[in-house]
Amino acid sequence: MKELLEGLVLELRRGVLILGVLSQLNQKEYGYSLIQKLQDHQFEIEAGTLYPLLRRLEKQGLLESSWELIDNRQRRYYQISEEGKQLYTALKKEYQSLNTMMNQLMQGEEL
Amino acid sequence: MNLIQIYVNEVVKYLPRQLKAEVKIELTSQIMDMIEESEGDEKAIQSILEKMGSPKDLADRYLNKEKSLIGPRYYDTYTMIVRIVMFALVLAFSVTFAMKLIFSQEITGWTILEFPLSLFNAAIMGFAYVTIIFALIERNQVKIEDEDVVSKSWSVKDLPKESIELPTHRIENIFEIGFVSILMFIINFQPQIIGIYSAVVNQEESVWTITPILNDATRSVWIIWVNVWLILMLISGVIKSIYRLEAKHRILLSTFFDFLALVMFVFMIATQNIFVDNVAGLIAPGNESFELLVNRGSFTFLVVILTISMFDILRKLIKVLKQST
Repeated sequence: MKELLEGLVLELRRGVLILGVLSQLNQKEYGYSLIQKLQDHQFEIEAGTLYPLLRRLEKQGLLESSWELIDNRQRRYYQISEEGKQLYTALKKEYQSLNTMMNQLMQGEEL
Repeated sequence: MNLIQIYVNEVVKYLPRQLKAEVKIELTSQIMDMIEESEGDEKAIQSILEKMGSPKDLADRYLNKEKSLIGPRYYDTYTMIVRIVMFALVLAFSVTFAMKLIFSQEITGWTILEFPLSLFNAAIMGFAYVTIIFALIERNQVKIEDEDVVSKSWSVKDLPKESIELPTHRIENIFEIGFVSILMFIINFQPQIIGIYSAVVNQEESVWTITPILNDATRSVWIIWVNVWLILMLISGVIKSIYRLEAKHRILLSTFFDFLALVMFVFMIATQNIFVDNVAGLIAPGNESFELLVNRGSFTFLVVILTISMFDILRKLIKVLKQST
């Protein structure tokens, strides 16, 4: 039962992962600063999940990236692209409509 | 070499060439950021790396996990092997074509046309074999894993003491795959090239003739087994070339196919009439001592080949056993 629940919660979280990441990239962030920013909003994400995801989103054209030299170390910053903003707006709308629909479905349906 | 470098090197080992350099710099920088925020001692580093997951799991996340015939992990090895096979086929084609022009008594239009056609057929065959082998490896390797699931059993202690950069290919693998491709071309498309070359002096003019030593009468049966044997050797060569497979896994698999190829070789020699009877008699008719020499010589040669192959298989198995302990 517990394992099943964990699996389903994981599925739910995975569905909103990209939306959560895009929502915080209006300003440029590097990998770890983004993890902290998300954690500040109680949105837990593992580094091993986020770092490859950032690269994939950039490859899809949803993010832009730039290398900066900070304290003698190269650091890669990511920011949402114009294409990413359009997708984010559309995705957010879908999510909100889904959320409203689910709230209506589950209203008063205490089992 | 510190733990972070070893970890990052292990991750990029599972990535295709074009991703390696960039991921190496970026991942190192990202791990360093995390360490700066923590106390930075050895225990904190270990904890951070363990949270990142096993190097292979992390590398999987960098790759597009959509199912494809040949995914990004093996794609560059695949294109390299296709290139080797194509090069070997063109080489075999050029050599056999030149030999046919030199030794054939009659050069007809069909002789000229037959060669490019056989090269075309061989190229399709070689391409199909390599693609099927890679598709099967891909199918067995792709694991649809949950994005957030980190291998719980993995620990920093599983990292090697040091991580060395592996070469993209080894010269012996290139030769092995090239040799199998050339043999495939000749056996399937120009078997008459394998024979005894002799010059016959005819009215003060010497004419070269080729006496084929492969048995044409039973060819329809033995050709299947010879192709199975060649495919097994090709599979073994391909597996040896894939450095992104875990070393133990790679050695075990390739040794298994080497063993199968050896069994198939023994089976072919023992049961199939691949060679024409009395090869020695064709070279020197009526010379019994020469016949005995050829028969004993070929038997000794076979025994030597089998012994070397058996020792090679045993050596690899011992290597895997040593790695496991």
